[in-house]
Amino acid sequence: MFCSMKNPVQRRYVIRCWIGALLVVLLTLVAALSFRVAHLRGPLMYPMATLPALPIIWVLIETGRYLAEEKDEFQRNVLVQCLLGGIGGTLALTTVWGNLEHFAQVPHLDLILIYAIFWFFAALTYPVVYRRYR
Amino acid sequence: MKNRLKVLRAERDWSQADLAERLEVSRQSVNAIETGKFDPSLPLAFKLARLFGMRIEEIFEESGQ
Amino acid sequence: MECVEGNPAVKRFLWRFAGAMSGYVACLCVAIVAFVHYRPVGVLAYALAVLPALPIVGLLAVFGFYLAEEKDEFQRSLFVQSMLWSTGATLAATTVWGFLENFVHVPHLQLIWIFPLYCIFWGIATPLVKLRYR
Repeated sequence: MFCSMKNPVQRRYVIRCWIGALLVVLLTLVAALSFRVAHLRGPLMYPMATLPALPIIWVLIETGRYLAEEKDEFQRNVLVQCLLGGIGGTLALTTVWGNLEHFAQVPHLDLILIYAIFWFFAALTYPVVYRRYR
Repeated sequence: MKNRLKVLRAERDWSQADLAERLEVSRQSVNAIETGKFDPSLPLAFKLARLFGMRIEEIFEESGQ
Repeated sequence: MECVEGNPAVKRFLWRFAGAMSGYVACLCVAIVAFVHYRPVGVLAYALAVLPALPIVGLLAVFGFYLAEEKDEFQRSLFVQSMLWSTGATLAATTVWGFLENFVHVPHLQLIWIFPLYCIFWGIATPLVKLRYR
């Protein structure tokens, strides 16, 4: 899958996204084990709890770096539109759900899911953007 | 912005992919510019012009913006 | 803001922003009064709960319309850059807090505060982005 990608900037970004995703799963496991099984206490709690968030922040930085390094301005433009669609959808959903939680006591939406929801809406935006330029 | 890219490409027998490779962009970008749905930046417009040995105004039409 | 005078897209944006904000205050009052005094149930409860979220979604649309209507591509670029930076900051902050909530039980951040958080980050990002081009 990676060899077919001719653009080196794109290839590097996609590979790093996959590594980031794997690291998130791994570090979440490590953190979960330390808290639920080893019952970690004390000041070490905070860095350990933050650990799974670090690859996510890294992927966000890599996305920014990709936007800066990608020479093809059209591809950059498409990605930016997807990201904006992503945050728009995410903010709309969290606001509606937040109000429902506050007033109508619907089940709680975990903050961790917001990152995934963002990429979900970004992916939804892609066909909309693509159709604009067909 | 309307342009003569398709004609200029045909004159040289270049596909969109060929042009994309010479410009170091993706084929989708070339298609979007050609169909007038995406305006290239100044550096890319100059690159196009140099490639065809013309001036930017000879490739792109302003057409009452 | 030197760019306000004479820029119709910005003027329209400010009017619509004010409209959406007023709508939000009004809907919030209606929802709070309804829930405190009348205790609605069923579909009515859900509808009333969603009501204050609608002007916020409208506000997102106002941002979107501004992006589409602003003819000055430099102003548009500044706007987009600020939005992307605040997107990254919001996603990073909510993810970190989400993990902290899960593992270390820090106080809960309600979903309805995510959009205001985004706006705060956007307020910080906008002058910083402009600084790049001085």
